[in-house]
Amino acid sequence: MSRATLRTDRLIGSAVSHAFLLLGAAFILLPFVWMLLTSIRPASEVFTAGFNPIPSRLAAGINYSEALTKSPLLQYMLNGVFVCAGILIIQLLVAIPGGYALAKLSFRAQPVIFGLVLFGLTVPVQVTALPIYIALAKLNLLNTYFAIMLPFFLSVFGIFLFRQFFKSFPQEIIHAARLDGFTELEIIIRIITPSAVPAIAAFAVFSITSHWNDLYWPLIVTTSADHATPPLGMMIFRDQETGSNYGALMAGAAIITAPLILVFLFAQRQFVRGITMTGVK
Amino acid sequence: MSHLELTGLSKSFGTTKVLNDVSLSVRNGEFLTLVGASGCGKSTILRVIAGLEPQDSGTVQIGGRGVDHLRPKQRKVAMVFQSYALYPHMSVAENMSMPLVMQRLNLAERLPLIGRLSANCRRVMTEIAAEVDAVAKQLQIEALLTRKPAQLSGGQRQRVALGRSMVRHPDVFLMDEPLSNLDAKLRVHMRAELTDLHRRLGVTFIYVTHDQVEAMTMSDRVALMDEGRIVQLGTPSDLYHNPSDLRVARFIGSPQINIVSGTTTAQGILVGEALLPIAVSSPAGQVVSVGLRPEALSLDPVAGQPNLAARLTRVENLGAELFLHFVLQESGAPLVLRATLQDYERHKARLNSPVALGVECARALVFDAAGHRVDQASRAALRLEVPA
Repeated sequence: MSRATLRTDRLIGSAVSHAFLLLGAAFILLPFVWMLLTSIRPASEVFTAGFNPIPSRLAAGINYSEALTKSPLLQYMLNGVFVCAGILIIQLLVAIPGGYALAKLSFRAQPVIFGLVLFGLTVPVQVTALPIYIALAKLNLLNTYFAIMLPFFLSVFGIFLFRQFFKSFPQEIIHAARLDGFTELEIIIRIITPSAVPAIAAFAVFSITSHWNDLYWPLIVTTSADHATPPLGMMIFRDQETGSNYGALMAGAAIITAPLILVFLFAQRQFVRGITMTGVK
Repeated sequence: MSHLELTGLSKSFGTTKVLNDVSLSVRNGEFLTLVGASGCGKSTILRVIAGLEPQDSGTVQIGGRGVDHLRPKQRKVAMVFQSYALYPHMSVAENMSMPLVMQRLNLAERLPLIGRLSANCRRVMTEIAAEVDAVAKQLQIEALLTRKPAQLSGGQRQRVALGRSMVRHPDVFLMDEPLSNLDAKLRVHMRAELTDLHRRLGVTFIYVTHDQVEAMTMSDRVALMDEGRIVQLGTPSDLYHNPSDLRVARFIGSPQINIVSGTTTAQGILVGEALLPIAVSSPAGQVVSVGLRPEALSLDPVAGQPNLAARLTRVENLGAELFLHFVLQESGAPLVLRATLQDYERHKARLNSPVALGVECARALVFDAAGHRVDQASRAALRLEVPA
């Protein structure tokens, strides 16, 4: 085969693969784009515009200001930040030492505990929802931030992810640290955690997106707008204030999605490193 | 005083026995090398001494005191690892000061940020910085103190790892193949530096390597290990000239010792048609292995002495000396001969031409089928003691 045909072959191959990727991206991004387009359309055009992507008249100002003023959107977002941060911090405090113990310490119960962690991965959150709800109700803790966060403090996925990451950490460095006089806790804090930044970033992205977007659990344990996280807030907003004002609703949705995109862009490089290094995919 | 005493150490991982009743006594200030093929248990001994892995049975004593119940940091040993095991996110100075920080500050003072508030902590940190500087100067790495390990070359990392082990002034240095990640030239250089360091510090070194050259050139004594046991413990020249076991004879020496098989007779050992007049303790008619170091063979057969008929197959010229590779005419067994350039040129041995090789029978080592040394006559006479 000549060099020219080789090059055309390669061109065709790359065109085909790019076409596939573009198709996939379009499929995933289209609802998102539609959300953004609806958020800048006047109310009259939301259903009449058909598939015409360009709005005839920009209504972004009205929609966004309505979303911001007619509902306590900032309050919802603040609740979201508080809940996500609380969950993430406790998850890390539990999962990093847990992952270290499973990866680097040898104790008799280790295989059993690791088996339980894997088993825990298969238990969906809905299964434990009812008992936890009853317990919270009996303790009079419904309608609190604590109630929204409680079921997620212990992340078996986090323990598993950090265990995979720490498995590849050189044993000799841990030996050196023990000889130097580090306690196990200090090894975790001073040696292991600084090396785990990519894994922490990856886990943070997983954790924050899933709890920022979670509607199921907040819906069960809170009824007040005071503690509502963004998706729950959006629901309350739709029911009470706007009724069928989809433009404003989509503007609100766009606003609450924005922080997630920012977080991901910020952590993207570390996230990809973390995923590739832990072998979780 | 920091002599080290291992008594009856055994250790298994699952069903494999890694250490099998190892006893060893290391003198204060001695440079002792554990050498052996990978998987022979030598690194495990170091980790047991350091307290990083518990033994199944047996005891470890350092300076006459049992240390089995002590944690690694309380044993006053320092270890240098093959991968250097530097803390990747800390600078060279931080790496080197860590052992002292851990030793001299209490748990509260070690806390990041908060610890700095205490006056005692600040004072100790200045002391430590001065000591780290002094050690860095000794190792000529004072220019690297602010760098991170990733920015250092292999040799520099090696020095930092050494420095980290030196700052604590341990009773015993444990070194786990510290030179095996360096390139050949640097390895030779660091060999000299390590022996020099040992002389300067005068502390007990236990050095693990799979490289017999390192074992031979650096140590006061060498323990050769195989399958979790010490096969022979002795000076380098003991192991070379007077190995007690075929495994030792094979492992020590480069090029490897020549092994030809022979049969014992009343007059000596019959190798092919040549009768080597060597007295052995085993009965006649036994098959034995005759070990001949490359310098026990010569191109000049001595009159009245036996010689071996061989054919030259390859010449390796190292400049000052040559390794001549032969095969025995009868059995086809390979032989290596160490010759000077003058010898070689005088003989004008050509490739594939037959040559009669002289054998210095007094230097022949004879082993029975189990690998034990059986030529007792030559045993005592050959011992070469290196002056202390």
